[in-house]
Amino acid sequence: MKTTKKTSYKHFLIAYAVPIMFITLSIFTIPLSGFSPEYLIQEMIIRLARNSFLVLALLIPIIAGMGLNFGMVLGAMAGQIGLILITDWNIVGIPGMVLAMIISIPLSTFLGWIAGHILNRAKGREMVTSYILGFFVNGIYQFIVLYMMGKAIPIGNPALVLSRGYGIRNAINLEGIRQTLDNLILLKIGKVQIPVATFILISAFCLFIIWFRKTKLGQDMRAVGQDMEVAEAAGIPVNRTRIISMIISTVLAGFGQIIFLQNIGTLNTYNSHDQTGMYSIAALLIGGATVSHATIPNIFLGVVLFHLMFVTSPMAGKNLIGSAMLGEYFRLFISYGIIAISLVLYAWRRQKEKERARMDLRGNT
Amino acid sequence: MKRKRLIVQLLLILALVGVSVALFVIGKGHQLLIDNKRATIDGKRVEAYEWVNVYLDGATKPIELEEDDRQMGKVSGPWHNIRIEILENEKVVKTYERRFTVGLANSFILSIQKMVAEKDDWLTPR
Repeated sequence: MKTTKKTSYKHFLIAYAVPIMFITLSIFTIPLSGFSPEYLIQEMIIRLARNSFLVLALLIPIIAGMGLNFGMVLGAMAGQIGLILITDWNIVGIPGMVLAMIISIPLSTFLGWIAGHILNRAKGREMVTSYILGFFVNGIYQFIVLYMMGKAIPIGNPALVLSRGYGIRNAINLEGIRQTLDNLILLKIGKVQIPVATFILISAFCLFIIWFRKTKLGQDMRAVGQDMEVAEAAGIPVNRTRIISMIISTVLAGFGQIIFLQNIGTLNTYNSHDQTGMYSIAALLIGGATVSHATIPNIFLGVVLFHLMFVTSPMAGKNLIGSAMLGEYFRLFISYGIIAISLVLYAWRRQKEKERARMDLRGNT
Repeated sequence: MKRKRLIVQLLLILALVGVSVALFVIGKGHQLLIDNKRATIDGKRVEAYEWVNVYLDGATKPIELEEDDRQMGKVSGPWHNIRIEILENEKVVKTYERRFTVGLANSFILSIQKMVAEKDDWLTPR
């Protein structure tokens, strides 16, 4: 009995090593930063509203066993093209945001379809393939935005076009849609503001995922995620199911990027999408998710812990050793480091599980 | 079965295009350059007002125009409402209200003098 309890503690610690590590770190950085609880709560609410949709877009490929979708930047780029076009046409408010989403759908679908086909040819190496695919499509995106927009694709707004007459400027002011969703229903509790409409949208997405898991397609994805060969033998079209999961994830990433940028209010044409995948994946992993398993609570816990570190670490670094730069380095180190740690932990955990299964098979000798 | 699916898909695409067009019209932003300047109407010279407050689409905060002034207002969508208050010695002497529609142009020039005189060209695309 004692051994079982000890083992379960050990399993718990192994399973939640990353969130435990972050909670411990936060216990030190929060008081060191000197921020008031009110400020931190407000920041966390803003960042939850801003980032949750993007992180949620990662869930479906995980269900389908395709790991962490680093290719979500493809959807982010499609979303940004939608935003550039609505800014050029001067479509403002919620209609502008929805139109940007509609414009992004065919682009994201096409990119997701391509990504799905490529990942089907790279089974077992989906994460690194989608990561490199992101770089490849980034090149095409830059070609379209830097050379084709203003020439082949008409852009009438001179504020968007570079002085040479074609190509989009580095920074685009999204004042027409800035925080339109966030301010649609704004609830004030004391000094804390809650963007209710954004959270309603995020909740709807969570419900969609819960419902989707129960559908035939959702069940197929789970079966494919558990064992592709068994799923194939059961008559599930594995490749098609994987492609659909990539398409859904890419389309939702496009929506997520639009929600993210309406909150920020400025589009960095050539950089905004760069870190989208990395930060979303880091947040998901910090929430206790793994390459093969992620839940909705993992997302919210991850976003809060990751951004708590993001907000507090520069100030903690400044107050501790007089340099905010250290905190800045720490932020980058954390986001990249946490992905590495999580992947190592995942591989180690799988090896341990295999060993344990082997031991069980031999009668625990 | 396949044909039925194709028809449903086509209808969905058409619906999406329809929604996009509606969003384009509803969400189209327009700049209104509001003039409180001397104008010639039917050969007569009409002077600029001393002070005008302009309320667009039921706004609570007015756009304030001095004599010979031009200010910019922003509206979105095709249907709008404008209310102007003409002030003399800091007192409202006249109030006008009007509903109007705008096309798909980005920018319009709105002449208060022509609006008060109920001329057709009070709102012209820029």
